[in-house]
Formats: sequence, structure tokens, C-alpha cells
Amino acid sequence: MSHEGGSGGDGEMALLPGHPQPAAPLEDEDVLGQILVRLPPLPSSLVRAAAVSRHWGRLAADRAFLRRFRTHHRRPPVLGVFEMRGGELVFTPLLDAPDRIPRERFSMRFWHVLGCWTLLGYRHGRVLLVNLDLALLLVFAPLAGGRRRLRAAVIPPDFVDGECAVANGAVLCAAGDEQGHVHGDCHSGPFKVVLVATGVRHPVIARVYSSDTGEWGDLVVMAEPCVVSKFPSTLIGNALYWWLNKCQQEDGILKFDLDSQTLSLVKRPIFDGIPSCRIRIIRGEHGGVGLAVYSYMRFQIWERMVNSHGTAIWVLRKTARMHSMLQYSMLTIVGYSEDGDALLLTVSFGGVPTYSFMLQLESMEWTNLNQTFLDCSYHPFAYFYTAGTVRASSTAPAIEPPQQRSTIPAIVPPQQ
Amino acid sequence: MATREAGKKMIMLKSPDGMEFEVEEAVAMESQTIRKMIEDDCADTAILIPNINSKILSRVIEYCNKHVPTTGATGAAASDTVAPAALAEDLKIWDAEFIKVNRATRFDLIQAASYLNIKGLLDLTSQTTIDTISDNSLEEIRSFLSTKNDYLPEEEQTIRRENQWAFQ
Repeated sequence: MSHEGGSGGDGEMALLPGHPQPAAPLEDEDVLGQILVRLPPLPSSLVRAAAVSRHWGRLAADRAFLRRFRTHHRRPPVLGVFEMRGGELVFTPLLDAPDRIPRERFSMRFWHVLGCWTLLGYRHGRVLLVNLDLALLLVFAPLAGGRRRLRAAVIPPDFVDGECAVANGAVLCAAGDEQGHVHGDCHSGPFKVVLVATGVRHPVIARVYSSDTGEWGDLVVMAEPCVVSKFPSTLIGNALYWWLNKCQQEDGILKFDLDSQTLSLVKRPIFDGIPSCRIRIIRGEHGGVGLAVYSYMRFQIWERMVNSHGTAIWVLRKTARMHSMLQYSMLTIVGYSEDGDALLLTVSFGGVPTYSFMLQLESMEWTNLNQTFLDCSYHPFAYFYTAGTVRASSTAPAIEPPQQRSTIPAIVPPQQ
Repeated sequence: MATREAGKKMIMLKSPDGMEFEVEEAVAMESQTIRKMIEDDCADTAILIPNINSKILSRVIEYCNKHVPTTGATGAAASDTVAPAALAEDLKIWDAEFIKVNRATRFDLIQAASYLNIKGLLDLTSQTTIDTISDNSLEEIRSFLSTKNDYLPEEEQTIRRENQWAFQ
């Protein structure tokens, strides 16, 4: 197929003329980037890579590279979960060493004198907490530095007083689901908070807070009363969805459209005899509103689609049979991660939580967790944790590596 | 210099060391960079591929030949009767053999795949490198990839101390 060519005769075309001479392969930023972008998206990967050399360190701290890293992996790992325990926001790491981030790094203690703080949700690197006694909300961005780590805002009176108090809320990056925006380095940037208040005989109200302006938007009202549950919201497209308590709306999901700033009810299938703790609103695999439903050792994944006649229908996307051991147990969905696309589940035998596991919704594969969670609500913290990729000074002279004894058997380089 | 052979459009690729490779257009178009040139009508003639020597270019062409979608390409007749899963499995085995090259060749292939924008080859070569270095100590990674540690000892100590959890 090949033969010795001539001298580059007439009409010959060079691919991108003027392309620079190649550097030694691993000196080439692009080649090194191509390799390092494929490191597993676990917290220790880039921190360790950054320690290899200054060149690697520079690349691992480069914003464009980090963006590529996130885009390549698409789905961040679930680093751990947040919960409120005894007046403390507690972070519990779920990964094993060396990806186990110390608990104290993301935990936060509140002074009891300040009253009761409720954890409403986690999203895009931020935790939302409210304190109705103080009419205050806090947005805690554990990965941000300085003053951006903790931001507070006063909750408007219509969400604190009277029978219709804050029922639920959500925090999200101000970019929302903007095209081309990859959540990962936006935890220090602007954000929005949505609060909803519901009451048995009251219209539903909502307001949006913008950290950009530091102000609350107009009051959004939906006349039809419903009662929002304590389960965290799910962000799908540019709308937030909340599960409703069954007392009034047997077949409804509350929707807050962030674009049109409207509240509405979305019809859902009725699952007779299945308690709410076995159902979770999820992001459907085709971008619609989804439901994960556990019943009789089976998980069903439903998704709301609009058919060719413009009618919304619920489609059963898949059914996965779980381990037969679950036959004699009670299973509770204790957390859901939108970005991690996973459910956190606790299995109880005889009323005692016995073990917990994580169910990846795409593959329906499950992983045992190193600890057991109670059957209440946890907020999984899924994020590309790339802190610690140190940018070293480039002025220091190059030196030989210090001799260190390795604890892992040496690998044999391939024959050259 | 584009020619026709048995009804298939051919393209001439030239390496800087003077070798010429006549390949089917469909095979060359496995490279998104070349595809773009062909689609933009910039490739009626021979294409000089700078910086990729003939040894590496021939391996790249070998890869593209194997991975080109079978319809209309060489080997189509044989693959028509093979189930897609079996075909994928066959490709996987072929890839595993293909990537059994020394380190320098693998890096050259990464560079070529990146430059020519051949996603499959880039995935294969880069992922193989990652697989060989993951779970190794920093010293092993440095020695395996011939990367010089230019941190001062105290700088490295600081990095390790500040991120102790990642070095456990």
C-alpha cells in the first residue's frame, strides 16, 4: 500500500501547514492532557497526578483542562452524604481511601442558641439550610473559599409567618441547565434559591432569590392547594419538581418552572400500596420527569414523555429485579443524586436498618456501602472534587527526585 | 492524485519522511481532521501529514482500516454474516493485540490520534496508558513515564501534607 514518494510534487497539500515540531510526547500539553483526562473522576486522581511534576501540576490545575476532565467523565462520583444531626451539618464520606475525604472538611457545627436549622437540599456544590426562627437561609458551598463559602439571606415574611410556612426549597447554580455549562467549578459563582410554602387550605406560594442581586423575586402563586413533602426537589431541565404528601394530591407532582416562574401540578401514575419512601422523582434517561418505584423486589423506572399527539404519557422504561434476599426486608430510598444518577438505599430487617447500598440507575448495578444509613433523608454530595491540585512556582530550579521507598511492588516498564 | 480503484475513491497520505500511502477515502475519513478537509473539498490531492513518521502513520492506517464501518469498505462481505456483538468482540481482541507496542510507540500513537482526531484510537492508546499507571506510586509513575520530578523536596512534602488523605 505504501511506496517511496517523490519530492512533494504539484498539488500536494499539507495538513495544517506550519504545525510546530512535536515536543517529546509527555512534554506535549495535548498528549499529556489526553492521558490525564482519562484518570478516574475520583478525588485523589488529580491531586496525586499534580504531585508527579510541575508540568503535571500546572495541567491538573488548569481550568480548561478541568473543564475537559468533567466533560469527558460527564457523571461526578458521589463523594458522600450530608445530613443534619444534633445541630450539626454532618458530611459522611462514602468512598474508600484514598478517595475518602475527611468528614470534618465539609461538616459544620451551628450554635444551639441560634435555633433549629433544617437541611433542605444539596445541588451544584452547595447546601441549602433554613432557620425559620431567625427567618434566615444559609447557602454553604464547602468547596468555595473565603466569604463565598457561607452566604446568608433573610427569608421574606410571607414564608415564615402564618399557616403557610416554608415547606421546601432548592438551591441551584445560576447557570441552571444552560447549554455548554458543566457544573464543577461554579460552586463559588452566582446561585439561585427557590422556596415554596404550602398549607392544607392555602394557595401554594414560591419565590426565587438571586445571589447576583441579593434580592427576592416576585411572589409566584398557584391557587390549588397541595402539601409538599419533606423529600428534596429534583431538577429536570429548567424546572424543579417536588413530591406531594398524599393527603390531597394523590396523583400530582409540584413543578416550579424556572424560565416562566410558574407553579403547576404534573399528573403522575398512582402506585397503590407503595409508600412515598419507596418512590423518588428522578431525571429520566431521555431528559423527562422520571420516577423510581420499588415494589416487591423490583425497581420500576418510569418516565413522562409527550407523544406524537402532544399528550403527556408515562412510559415504563425498565424493570430491574433486585436480590431475592430483599424478600424479607424493608427497603427505603434515603437519597437520590441527580448528577450521580444514583439512589441511596437502606435495607431493614425486623425494623432495624441493616445495610445500605447505592444503585446506579443507568446500569441498575449496585454497590454496597461501608456504612448503614437510617431510614430518613440524606443528601448525596456528587461532585468533581479537584481541590488540592496545587499550582507550584515555576521559578524554582529543577532537581532530581528524592529517593523514596515505594510501598507498592514496582511495575516493570515494557521492553523498548 | 486521488484515484479510483474498484469503484472506491482513494486518497494519498504522505508522511514527512517521504513515504506515500494510498488509502480508501472512507478509511482516511476515520480521522475527523482529514474528513473535514475532504468535506471542505480541500483534499483533491495528496495530503501531507506533518510530524507523523511513516512507521506510526502505517500503524494509524492499519487501525483505521480495521475500524472503518464495514459497509462499502474492505471486508464488508465477510462481516455481513457476523452478528454485531461478535464483531465488537473481534474488534476488542484486535485492539488488545494492536496496542501491544512499546511505550514510545504508544505515545507517538496518542500524539497522532490526537492530531488526526481519531477518537477510538485516542481512547485506546490513552486509556491503556492510564490503566498501566493507575494504582502505582508517584515514583513508579515517574519512572514508568520517564517524567522528571522537578518539585523541591519541601514543595512535594507540602503537597503531600496538605492532601494527606489522597496519599494514604
